[in-house]
Amino acid sequence: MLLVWLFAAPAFAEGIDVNKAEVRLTEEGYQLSADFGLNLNYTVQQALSLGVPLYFVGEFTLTRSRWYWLDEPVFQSEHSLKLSYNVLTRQYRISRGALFQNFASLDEMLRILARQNSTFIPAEAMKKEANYLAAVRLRLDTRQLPKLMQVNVLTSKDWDFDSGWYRWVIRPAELRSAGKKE
Amino acid sequence: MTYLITFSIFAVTVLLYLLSSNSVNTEVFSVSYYGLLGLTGLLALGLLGLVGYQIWRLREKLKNKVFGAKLTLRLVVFFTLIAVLPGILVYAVSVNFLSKSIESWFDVRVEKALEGGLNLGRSSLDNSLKELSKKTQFIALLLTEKNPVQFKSALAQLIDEGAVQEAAIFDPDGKLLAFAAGDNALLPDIPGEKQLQQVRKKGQYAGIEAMPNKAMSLRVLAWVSNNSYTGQNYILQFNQAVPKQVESDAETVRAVYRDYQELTLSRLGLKRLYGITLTLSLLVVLLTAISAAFFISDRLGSSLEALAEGTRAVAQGDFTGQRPIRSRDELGALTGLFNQMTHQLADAKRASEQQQREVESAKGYLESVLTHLSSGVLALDADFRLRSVNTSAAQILDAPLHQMQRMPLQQIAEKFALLNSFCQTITEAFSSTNNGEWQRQIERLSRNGTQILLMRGTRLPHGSEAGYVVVFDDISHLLKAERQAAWGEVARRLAHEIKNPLTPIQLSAERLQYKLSAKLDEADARLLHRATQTIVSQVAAMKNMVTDFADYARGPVLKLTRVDIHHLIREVLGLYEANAVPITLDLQASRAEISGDATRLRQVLHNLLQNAQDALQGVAQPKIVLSSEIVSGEIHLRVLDNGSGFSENVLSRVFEPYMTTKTKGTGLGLAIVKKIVEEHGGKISVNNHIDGGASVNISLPLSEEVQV
Repeated sequence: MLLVWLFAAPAFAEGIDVNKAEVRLTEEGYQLSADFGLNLNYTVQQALSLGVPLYFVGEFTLTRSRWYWLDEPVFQSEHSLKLSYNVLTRQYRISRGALFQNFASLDEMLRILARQNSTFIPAEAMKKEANYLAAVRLRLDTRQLPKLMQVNVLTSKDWDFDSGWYRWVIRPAELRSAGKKE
Repeated sequence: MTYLITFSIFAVTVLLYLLSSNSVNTEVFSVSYYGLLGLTGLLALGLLGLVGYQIWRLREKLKNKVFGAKLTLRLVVFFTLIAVLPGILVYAVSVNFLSKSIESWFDVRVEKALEGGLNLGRSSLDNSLKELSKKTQFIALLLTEKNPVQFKSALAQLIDEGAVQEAAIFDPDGKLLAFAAGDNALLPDIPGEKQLQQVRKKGQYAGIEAMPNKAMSLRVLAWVSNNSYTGQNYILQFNQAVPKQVESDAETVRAVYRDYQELTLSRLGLKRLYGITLTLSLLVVLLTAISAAFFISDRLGSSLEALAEGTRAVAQGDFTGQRPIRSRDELGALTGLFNQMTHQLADAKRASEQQQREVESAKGYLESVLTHLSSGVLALDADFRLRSVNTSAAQILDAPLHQMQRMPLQQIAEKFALLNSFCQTITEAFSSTNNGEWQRQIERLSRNGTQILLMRGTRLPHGSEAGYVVVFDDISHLLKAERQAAWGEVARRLAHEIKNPLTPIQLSAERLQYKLSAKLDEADARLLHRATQTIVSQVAAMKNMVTDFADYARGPVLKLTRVDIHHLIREVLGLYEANAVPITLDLQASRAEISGDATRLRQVLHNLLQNAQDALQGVAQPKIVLSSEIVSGEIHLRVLDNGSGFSENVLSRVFEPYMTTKTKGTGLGLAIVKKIVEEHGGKISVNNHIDGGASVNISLPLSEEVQV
């Protein structure tokens, strides 16, 4: 297993930052993964603690840059995570589709949320000699908030919770040679 | 403008509807709300600009003092007040109501009740959990004393006793050893690694398990340490489902609590949202209303302005403008009436102009008739002041009568001595007549000699136009012509009568000489010869004289050719070169070609020069000057001598036959000259020069075509 990563600024204020982004080559293919620095502000935290579910969307894209035309999209994945707090049982929970996981504390849950992996990309999809541009993003999906809360989103910046696209260049050739050495 | 207003009203309606409906509809909410707000804001800005522009225009109008602008301003203010005040009132009430009603959703008691309910649920769950864990601890203690082989039966007994719904025993690694369940389940609920860890560490784990699509359950794990038979450790698990009723109640409380909290969280945002929507709506509606107010007021004002403009135009005499009728109300009716009025005024003006033109043309016609009348016409008012006079009158009297209108006859007579007798005759004749009409012939002295006038006077009937009219003709020429005709007749008869006996006389004398000269002696014969010669020569002279008479009486028909007068003069002067009297030439005329009879003109020159020569006999330094010049398209010839000139009484009759100052001569010379000149369409006059001597002036029309 090999890692090629780029580090972003480790210190962060409220919001989402990318701490580490990498691409892994496994037997199943390539996998994009990213570590985010998550720091919920008071408003969001309060809403969560009062039982309002929050939806986070993790997005991964991979494009091949073409100088003569628009970039060619190679891979695209997007998954939604639901964060919720049960005021009755005092448990935090992350649900992804039918799967879910309970946590006793917020930090525990956020640690899981911070680590995002894409689905596997077939190794054949990436040509050896080309350069690819990977991008990753994690954001709070305000559209899935309860309707009344959406008013708050419109009127306040507290709900603007978005890492923005973080991009880095991938060279498959380097990945493979490094993998063989290992 | 109408379209703009209609469009903005439409847009406002649509936007406001969308804004208000958007607060309800969630799907497109967040996407389109900003867009809608932006659109409404843009619309408000646009309307603001429009209103600003309208205000600016109104200000310009007020500054330029456009009629109707003040009314427009007042109407705008009224309309705006009517629109704005209720609008602001409604706005204030709605904002107040809105915030109040939003606040009324939240109540401390409700919140407390909800929290209480939640706590109740929590504590009930906690109590059940505590009870279960106590039970588990107790069983775990019992189990330390039991042989692991009996575990299963012990568990089954517990289930049977109804102590718990599901019980299981694991080894410390989480491997299932024994299991019993009330609902005959095949497998127990396996604990997670974390829970096992906690049991290993702390000896116990208790938790509420809430899975989606599954009933809420309580799970308790307890450490069974140092089994007395095996000496090993075990883990006992008790699972107990939360009663359905409790669970659903707790869940309801939870859901309501969450909804309530959501509402609380979005309270400020909601207020802001409704506030913004309301404010924007109010702004747009008010601006539209104000803009419409401007528009309507402007229309009303412009109708007035159009009317004012029309009135001004009418005041300046322009009746052509028709104001467009824009509305069907009283203003439109007023405009219609105004149009009718201007139309009628225009008709009246046209009629009066037509009348005036007719009068003027009638007057012009009359004046033209009078002007072209050869008779002179004078119109006098009742006090004998000159009222009007025609051109011929001024020409005949040779006085600037046109400039003397409104002048009494008395004054005219004083100013012009030559008109004295004329004016006197008029006054006297009118005073002496009975029926107001008279006719007289008078003789007056004019600049060109005596003038004989035939005058007729009429008194105009009494009334506003009372006065007198005098018509007169210059009949001097007529009389002169009559005299000449009479003279011609006499001359012709005389010539005829005289000529007849002359030939027999001449023949008889010659015959006497011829028959008697041989019979007489020399002295007698000589006498006879002399006498006969005398008779013959005198008869010849007489014949000449008679021929002259005849010539004068009926001149031969002119043979008109193109004649250069200057050339003719030089030719004639050639015959006078050897003369005693020097003749000076002063020919200044640039053109000298006339159409005339060279022979007759030659005769004219001969006669004139002869006359001048005769007049200079016995003068110390005789001199004759022959000059020519062009005056208004005619050539003027002048023969000037420095002789004694004509005496006064001769001057007026100089052109009549047999007027002569000379000792010998027929007296026909100048008469013939005059006749020839007049036959050529020219004029002749004689006057005495200031320095002594006489001058004869002849003017002849130039031949026309040489106008290059």
